[in-house]
Amino acid sequence: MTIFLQLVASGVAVGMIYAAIAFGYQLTFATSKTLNFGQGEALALGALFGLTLAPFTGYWLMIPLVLVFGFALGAVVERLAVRPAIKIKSEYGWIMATIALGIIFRNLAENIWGRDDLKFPSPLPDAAVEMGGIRVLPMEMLIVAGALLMMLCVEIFNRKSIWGKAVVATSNDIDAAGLMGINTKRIITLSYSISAMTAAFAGVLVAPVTLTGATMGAVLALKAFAVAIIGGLESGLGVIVGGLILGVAETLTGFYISTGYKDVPGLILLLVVLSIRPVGLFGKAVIKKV
Amino acid sequence: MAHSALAPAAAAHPPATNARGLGLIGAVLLVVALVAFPLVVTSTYYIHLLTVIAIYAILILGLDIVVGYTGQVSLGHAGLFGIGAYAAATLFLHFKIGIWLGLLAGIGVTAAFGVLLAVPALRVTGPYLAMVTLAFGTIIQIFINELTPITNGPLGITLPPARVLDFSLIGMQAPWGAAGRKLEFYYLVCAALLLTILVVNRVVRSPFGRAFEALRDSPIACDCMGVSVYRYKVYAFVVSAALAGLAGALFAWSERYVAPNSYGFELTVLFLLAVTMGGRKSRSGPLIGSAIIVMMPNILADIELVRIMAGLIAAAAVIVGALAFIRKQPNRYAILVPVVLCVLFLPATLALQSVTDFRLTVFGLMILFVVYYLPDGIVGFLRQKIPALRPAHTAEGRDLAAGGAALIAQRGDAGGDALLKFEQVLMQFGGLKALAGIDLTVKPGTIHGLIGPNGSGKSTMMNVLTGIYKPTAGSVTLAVAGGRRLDGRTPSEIALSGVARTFQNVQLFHEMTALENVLVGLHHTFRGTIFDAILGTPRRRREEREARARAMSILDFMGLGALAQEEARNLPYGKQRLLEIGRALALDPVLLLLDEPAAGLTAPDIADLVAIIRKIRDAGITVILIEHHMDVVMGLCDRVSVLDFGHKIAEGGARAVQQDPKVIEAYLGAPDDMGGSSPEHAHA
Repeated sequence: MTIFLQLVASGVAVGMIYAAIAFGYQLTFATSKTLNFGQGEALALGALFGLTLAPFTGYWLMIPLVLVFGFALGAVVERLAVRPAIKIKSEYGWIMATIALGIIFRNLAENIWGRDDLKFPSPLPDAAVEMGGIRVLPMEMLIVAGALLMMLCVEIFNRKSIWGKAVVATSNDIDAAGLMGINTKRIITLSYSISAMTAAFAGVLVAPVTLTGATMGAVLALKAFAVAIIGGLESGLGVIVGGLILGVAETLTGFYISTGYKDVPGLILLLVVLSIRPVGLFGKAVIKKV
Repeated sequence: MAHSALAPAAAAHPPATNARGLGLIGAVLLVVALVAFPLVVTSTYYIHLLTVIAIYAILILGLDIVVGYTGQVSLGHAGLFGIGAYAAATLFLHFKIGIWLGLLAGIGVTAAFGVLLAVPALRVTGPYLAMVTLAFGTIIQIFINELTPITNGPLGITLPPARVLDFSLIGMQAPWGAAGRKLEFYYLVCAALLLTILVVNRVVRSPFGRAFEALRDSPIACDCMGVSVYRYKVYAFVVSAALAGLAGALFAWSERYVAPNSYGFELTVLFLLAVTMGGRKSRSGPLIGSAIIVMMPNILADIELVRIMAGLIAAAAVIVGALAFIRKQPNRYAILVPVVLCVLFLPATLALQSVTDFRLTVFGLMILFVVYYLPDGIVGFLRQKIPALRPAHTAEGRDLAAGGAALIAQRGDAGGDALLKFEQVLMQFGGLKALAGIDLTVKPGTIHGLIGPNGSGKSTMMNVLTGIYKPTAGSVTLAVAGGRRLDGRTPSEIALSGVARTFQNVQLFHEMTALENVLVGLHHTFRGTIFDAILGTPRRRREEREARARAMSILDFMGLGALAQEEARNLPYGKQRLLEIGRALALDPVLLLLDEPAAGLTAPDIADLVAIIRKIRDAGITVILIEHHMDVVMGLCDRVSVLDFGHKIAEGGARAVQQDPKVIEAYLGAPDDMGGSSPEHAHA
């Protein structure tokens, strides 16, 4: 039983990372019905950028700089890959263009930081803390707290600030928002910026417990798809539940079956949820008008 | 037919293009080139390169069916390719089974996996489908890595040289000697490629291909023509998977080594790049695309060659840009960005010692370039510039004779009773009751009008009837085959039970010709399977001939005979509306629903439309007509029902309904100031 709880505890930390990335997917999908297939590269670039800064600034001061970097990166992705595709109403266009940008970013990162995985210095002690018989790494607690805090901040921003309200309005009805004088193009850019910012932040959170490298984001981003689908691409905090389900399912698979298969449950879950309930477990069915 | 405005405006048949002839020339050239290549170039390196191009082309031709024809994005084709390769390789590893059975296994196993993926995944579209297929590809890679007892895990499997023809079995030496034997595999791949081209050609020109294009242009209309979008997407995907499997098995025997990490995400994206860059919906496009993606790494490895290429690209970009400015083309500022980027590429290559490390960046830039500046690919670009290269629509340039009755009335077995019965139908969207428990009966052989102010529930009723919405409660029954419940069935099932419809906002298959649109409606007359289509059996040809004649007679009935070869999007609006009715008639319906057929038509067009609707009724087809033109409704309808806020407020003959105070109130509002004083209002 202790082993089981121990596995659940470490699953929670991984799950929150998925939730944070999936949250980013939701943000852009809400405003523009598009999402960044290169989100994993935004995460990796955030982590690598943080790794370069950390020796000069220390871990904590590096975080706001990474946030700014992620924010700018999101705007670049939106301008180069998404806006032109929205203009020509091409679904194929934005899927391929965001994939292409992701590949370019990954390749550039490999050329700048090298192909080998790097070790990210942990800001907290590596010794595990004992809590009710379960050993938890301080870094894992930081991941959970950080991810939750970030989602909370974005939610508060959306609810309280005028820009956030514009984001919500655009998500509800982009045409009506446009007619009310909201510059919806800029709002879509903003949503991409916030989305990439959350990914970059997730990158520096997760980097100390995994290895850092240009390819670190690919699998994380793919599994965050699964979480976004489970939680529903359009439903607010379903991603937290989805992230927890997936994170725990993975650590359990890794322990009881084989670490080689630990990526499988998420992907299977993705296939199953989409085929049974495409709007996600927490999503609402939308009826298309003819 | 003495139609004034509807009479064909002397539109001659478009000049029969020689595209088919060109296609034949292209095919002959390809065969000659493939046969002659090893005789001219003896280097095994280049022969191997051409083999790989041909193998990739097989997969890309298959991918084009999914991406080009049905318009779906699949990121799982590298996974399917890997399954094909491993099917062949594991057969050899465990049972020492050679190439021929390996190819069959590659096709069969991969097609089975294609079904396994397509059945759940194709219920979703767009980004969802992209994610599912991406997940599928990743799972396949993980399983190949982990199932070591079967796949030999990360070590991979090594294969011996393929023994294509085994002469020792008949105790002979190969007549073409040792040197010729090395080419056997090359010729096998060439044969597979030519066969693939033939199969893809036949499939896309068959009713299956028409269904693929129809479901991309308008999924909803496709379903309402009795062609299940879901089912045909699965067909397309499985055919595509089978070809990916063939390519995979050939690839395994060509490289003679398979390893798990060869079939990853990058390969998938490379395939998609090849399809788009070459040009969708063509046979030559995938060949060009395949050549580009196979040769690109080789070109990039040679920095001198890259610099020369970059120079050429920069020169071409400067010329294109300069021409645009000299001619003052309206898009001259828009193309400035790609021109500058292309020019900048040259100094970048001069500065670098090697671009191999930046291979993926180049490749990503190519995708961006293709997506935004060459969306129709190289072949699409050439077709746009050179009209002779445009593909012939099916049967273009052949003489078309009408045959068979235009209208085949299916009277159902209602007798004198109701043909269609709505009983207590409730349709609820959240808190809104769009239909609040409606009862409605439609008698056979009548024109039943359905009117009401905007938002009264008319279109909702049509959508419930045709299965686009599932009613919250109540039942819909059609008197065919002893009374069939329609509620809860899919749109295509309902369409096949004999309910055809048109749409308020025209939903034609706009890239298809008028004739092809009607042929999609006639899809239900085809009994041939996909194997009939691939083999071109006599049954398939007979069915096509009959359907074509029938389609022509329907077009003649609608007065569109002269426009049969015109693409639907190029027809004037009035003709589009008529074509939509013609397409619905091709379904041989018991019941025809016309949703505002007169909207946006001119007065003479309306007169012709009225005449046509009458003829349809006189042929015995029951019609439900939603219309806002009251003179059309009053002139045509045998019976009229009036809806308001989801309730039926009146029903009866046209005149009686027109006098009904409830109807007047629904349309014009209650006379508040004299409320109560009017005697009609009292019983309202």
